[in-house]
Amino acid sequence: MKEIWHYILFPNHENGMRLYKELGAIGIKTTIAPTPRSLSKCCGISLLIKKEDIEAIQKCIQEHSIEILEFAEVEKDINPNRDRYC
Amino acid sequence: MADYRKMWEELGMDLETHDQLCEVLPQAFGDVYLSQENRPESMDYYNMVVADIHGIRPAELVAAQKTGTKVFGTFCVYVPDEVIVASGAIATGLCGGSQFWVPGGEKVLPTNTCPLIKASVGARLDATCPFFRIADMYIGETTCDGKKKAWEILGEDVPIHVMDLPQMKRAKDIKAWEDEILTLKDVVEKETGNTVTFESLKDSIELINNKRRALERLYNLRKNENVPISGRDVLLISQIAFYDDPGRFTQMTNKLCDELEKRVQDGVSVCQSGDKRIMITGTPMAVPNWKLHQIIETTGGIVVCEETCTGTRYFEHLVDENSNTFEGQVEALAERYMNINCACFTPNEGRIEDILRLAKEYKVDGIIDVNLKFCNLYDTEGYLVERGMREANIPVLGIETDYTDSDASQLRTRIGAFMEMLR
Amino acid sequence: MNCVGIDIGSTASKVVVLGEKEIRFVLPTGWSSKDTSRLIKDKLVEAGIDVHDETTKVVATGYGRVAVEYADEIITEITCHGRGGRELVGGECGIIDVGGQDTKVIILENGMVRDFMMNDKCSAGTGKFIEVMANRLGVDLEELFELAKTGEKVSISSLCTVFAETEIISHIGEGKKREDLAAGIIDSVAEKVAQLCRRMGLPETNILTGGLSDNKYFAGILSKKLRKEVKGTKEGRFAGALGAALFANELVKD
Repeated sequence: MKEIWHYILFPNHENGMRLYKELGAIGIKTTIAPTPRSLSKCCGISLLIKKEDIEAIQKCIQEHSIEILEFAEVEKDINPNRDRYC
Repeated sequence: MADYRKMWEELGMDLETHDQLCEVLPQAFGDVYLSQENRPESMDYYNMVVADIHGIRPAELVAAQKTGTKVFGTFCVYVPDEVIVASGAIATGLCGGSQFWVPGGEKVLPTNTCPLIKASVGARLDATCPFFRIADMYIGETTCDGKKKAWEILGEDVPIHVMDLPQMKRAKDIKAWEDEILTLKDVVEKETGNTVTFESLKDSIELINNKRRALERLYNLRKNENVPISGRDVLLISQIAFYDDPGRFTQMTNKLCDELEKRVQDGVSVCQSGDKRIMITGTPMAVPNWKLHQIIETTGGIVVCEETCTGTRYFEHLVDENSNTFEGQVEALAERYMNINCACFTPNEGRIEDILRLAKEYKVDGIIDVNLKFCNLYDTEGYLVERGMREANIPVLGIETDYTDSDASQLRTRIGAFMEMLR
Repeated sequence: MNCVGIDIGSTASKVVVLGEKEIRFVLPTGWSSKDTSRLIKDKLVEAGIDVHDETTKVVATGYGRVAVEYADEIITEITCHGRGGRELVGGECGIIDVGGQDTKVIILENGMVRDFMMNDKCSAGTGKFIEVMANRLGVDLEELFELAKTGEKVSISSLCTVFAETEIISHIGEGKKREDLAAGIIDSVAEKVAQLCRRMGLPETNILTGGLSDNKYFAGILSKKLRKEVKGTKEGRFAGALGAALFANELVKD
């Protein structure tokens, strides 16, 4: 079964960090991650979130008027034995 | 993130080529970092720094430059950041850990130069690293022959000051290094227009010492039976230490340590029972060189210590903070830096003693002595290191590697067999 | 109860079964380790061994070890060669494995691997080197060794396979005798292998494993160079697979 990872993309890291902090304050754990290249070609941060948190996150975004670019879904592509480094 | 593209353009970077580098980072970062289970939450800060490594920090440096602050780029743990910071300037490490930059370096350097030097020169000449573009001046040093000659080539493209590092550790050598530190003071004063004073040096010594204390605290936590953080994560933190604002870095690393202390109390560990405790000794691993740690930690090992320039050599020993005179401060600086045991010194028995001491402190099951291909100094010293470890009955595996992926499967066999041997 | 050891090397794959059925066979690895591992499975089924059966344990080793999806455990070839070597000549010995892709020297003490070394990325001093050079001379491996026995060695100074090939070509151009070149080629490989051994400090008893294991001529040259006994054995080729099968047997006991 394919696992889907959910991301939020931002226009800049300040908004990303603001949302990360606000979510942390209400007990929603997210992970700061590089934006997957299938979503954007540039380096930049995004938030990796859990699907079940999306509703609460949307509420938080509105409450604190945080600017985001989009919610995005990517098929999980992690392989610790791939040995492709940069 | 269009705002950074504009900054990169203004820095004269080759955006098209730089895009290729940005493209490979997320996958590699995912495989090495996001694949880990039970990572400390405070790693999010370092995730942020590396996810936007060519954006956030470079933008801060550019903003500082607009207010008249100078930025000095450095390559080596012997260059005293304290002097640079005391002149009101910023010291930043320069890139050099990716195969991506190597071909650029090979345009002007012999192929049998170590990848760290080739990548550093390539990153500057190919204009694919913002840090290399931003720095107003580079501070080089005479640690190895490869670097010495590379400075002459880099110097044609960017202002560079080279510090003459002695290669022995007699009293007169320490005195000579003191002189070199004073010369560096003159150079940074001229470049910044500011004076390095007793007060400003006192502050910067404390600032950098605090960074060392934070790293030491982090390393001490790895001595626990239940290792609260992976070696990969600590490597990333050490790599970021070279770039980040020292005050902020110290604060964030101490915050992480608070979390790790809690983990130790609660018995939370990132490794499984049976994982072998490994110390890496040898050559530095500049960002984003994560290959060896990743292979070790996916073949039944956990890296608990790095006796490298991106490890203990970077933070061990503090500068004495109790000097009452400027001369005393400079003497204290020289003494602290000459305490680092790099293979460019002869003799260098202190390094073997360091490794034996660390092996005990971190209760290691085995040592992997790594040599970056074509680093003649560490390669030669590897013979003495391996012999010293065998005499002390500490299993040791010697590895030579570079930044390419091509030897990964052979490394998996060797390292896998080493782990099986330790069982 | 059957214990299967599968050693997928870069050129040949070796299989040893211990237990109710005692069989061993070799087949070329081909270019896909996955296909080879399936072929092996089919051959085992033909012999009446079902790898998925609970009474069958499989340990895979060799460079294609991760491709064996039905393996119960994966162990590196170094550890498996060590275990196999111990079975063949005892727990105090050196094992010299000249493989298709790399060369390993393993030191056993009290039956355990005490230390090992492997050649670096480069293919000089491996089976690959011999293969490339044999090709150059237009002979197969067996013929190359037969030729070498009658030749006076021409010294080949290049350590790199690619450069050594160029060197051979120029020797051919100069009209040097094929048997002399063959002797030079074998000596050059043996010297490179011996260099690796010298760094390790070999014990008194040593065996050759891998593709050249029953090559008495090669074992003789190595013995001479190292001034230590190096035995060539028929079973040496299966040392890795044998070790894997013995580890599979330990899985049964657990």
